[in-house]
Amino acid sequence: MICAGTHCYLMGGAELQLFHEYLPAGLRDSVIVTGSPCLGNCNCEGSGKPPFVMVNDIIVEQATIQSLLEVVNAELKN
Amino acid sequence: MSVTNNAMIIRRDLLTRIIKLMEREELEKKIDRIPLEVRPRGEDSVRCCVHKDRAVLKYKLMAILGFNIADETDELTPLSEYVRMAYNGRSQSDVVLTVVDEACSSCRQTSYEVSNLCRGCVARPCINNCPKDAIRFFNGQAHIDHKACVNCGKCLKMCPFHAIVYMPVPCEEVCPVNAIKKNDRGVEYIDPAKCINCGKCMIACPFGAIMEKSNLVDIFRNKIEGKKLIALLAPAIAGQFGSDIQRIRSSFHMLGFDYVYEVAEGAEQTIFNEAAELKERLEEGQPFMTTSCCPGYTSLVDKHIPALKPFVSHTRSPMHYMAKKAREEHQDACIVFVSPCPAKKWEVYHDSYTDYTLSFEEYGAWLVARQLDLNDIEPLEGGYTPAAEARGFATSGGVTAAVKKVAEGVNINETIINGIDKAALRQLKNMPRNYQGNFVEVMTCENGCIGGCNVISNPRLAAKKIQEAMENAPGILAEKALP
Ligand code: SF4
Ligand code: SF4
Ligand code: FES
Repeated sequence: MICAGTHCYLMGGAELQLFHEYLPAGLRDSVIVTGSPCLGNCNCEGSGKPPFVMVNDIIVEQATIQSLLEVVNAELKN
Repeated sequence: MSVTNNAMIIRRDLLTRIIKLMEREELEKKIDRIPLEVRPRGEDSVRCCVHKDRAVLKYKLMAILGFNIADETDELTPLSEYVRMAYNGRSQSDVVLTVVDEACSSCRQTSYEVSNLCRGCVARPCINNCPKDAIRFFNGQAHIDHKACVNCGKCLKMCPFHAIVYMPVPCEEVCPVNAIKKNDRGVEYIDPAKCINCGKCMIACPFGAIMEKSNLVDIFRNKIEGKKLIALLAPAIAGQFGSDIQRIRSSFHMLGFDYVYEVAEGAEQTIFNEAAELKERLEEGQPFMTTSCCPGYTSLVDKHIPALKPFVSHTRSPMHYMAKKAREEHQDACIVFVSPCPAKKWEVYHDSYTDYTLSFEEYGAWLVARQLDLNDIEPLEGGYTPAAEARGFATSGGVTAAVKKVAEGVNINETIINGIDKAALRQLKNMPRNYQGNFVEVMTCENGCIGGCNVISNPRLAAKKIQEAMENAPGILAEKALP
């Protein structure tokens, strides 16, 4: 779930909206990519910096395409 | 390719902090602490030390306050002093971009270098192919004698190990008009006589050393002085933040703007005037006409291709027509153009009806500072819906498509210049002599305004959003009568 809240969007989340295109073809069927309104992390101290993404139950802060790919791969292995 | 990088995120973070403090009326009191908060002691520094990082931040903040960094006379002047000056209303010049000399790492002069991948091979094709005999061998590796090297790049092509690298100066490399050059200290200097304010250098600099001066304080000052604020939204905003134009309009009221206009409304007038002018010029025997709505392009013609000047249309930009109407309706208001690029900021400075600029980036930072989320905002219903073709001005090809719709009896044979780079510059330079078509649309940024350097959304996503907005709008001829 990729946060499409305004705060995340401004701080680099805009880029992540195209995340599905970066998934290797083999993974596209096993991962569902959705947008989400503000996940509520941006305004609470100590939960890291935007942009935020939720992969299953894991909150990824300062997400980038690369860091997301890693988390997604690790989750798929589990 | 991604359109955001860390240097931009730092800038957006600083913008957000400044706006937050302005909203609380604490800017003067607290601004000097921002560099310390962003780079606290004990955390890793990006540059040599935390103090250097903080010094760089100070100058970036100075630019956001709207000052030319080169104008600093005393290094000890605190930011709070600049805040005071800004709130007292200072005069600004039409210089939009300013170089943070502390941040410019004085990238080495463009050159070819031998990396440590050099195996010192026996064949040594680099030596054999260097036309200037600039390659020496010592310690078993090739070295380039930069006094002799003419930057031809032959050695790079020949090395079987790809051991030779090309090291560009990023800002100089992208500038289409060679306006940015090193001064005698190796720091970049932008020559205002050449610069067209395209902002390409600002995006290219990996150190975020090139900053755009902001009007934020001026806008807040006018609000405090009790002026009504008017926002003129550039057509490209319809594609930003993944949101829709009704929510975006609504958000401007929440930020404290009294009236909101879509510049696409002004674009309707540009379309009709442009079409009429094209027809007239062709009938008078002129071979072709070019558009004029992109200020980066008109500056390019003024400063670098004077021979093309007679072919540039005299039709004014959508912003100008919209601002004129807004000014007629609200004489004393403060008119703010919400802009995708620094070139427009330059146009605003020279426009008689518009007062200030707020970039898309600054707008986003303002929303964040106020903790407003576009998804939660009630869309603003009603108001004027500009024609689909007018909304299309935000993307490359949009102006041509619109003019074609209304230019009756003219067979338009167009060329669309989608972004100005060195190749496009050459193409334009040749046009007065041998151009075969009759209409040239020029946008300085690739993809048009949705590719401007202050945009937030990836241009591909933005283009989709603009398309959606166009589908919900009436056609230019269906609803609007020809004047
Ligand atoms: S890209 Fe240009 S402005 Fe940026 S650090 Fe290098 S020389 Fe300086
Ligand atoms: S704004 Fe554009 S024209 Fe001006 S120095 Fe930068 S790249 Fe060159
Ligand atoms: S906007 Fe993403 S967590 Fe709030």
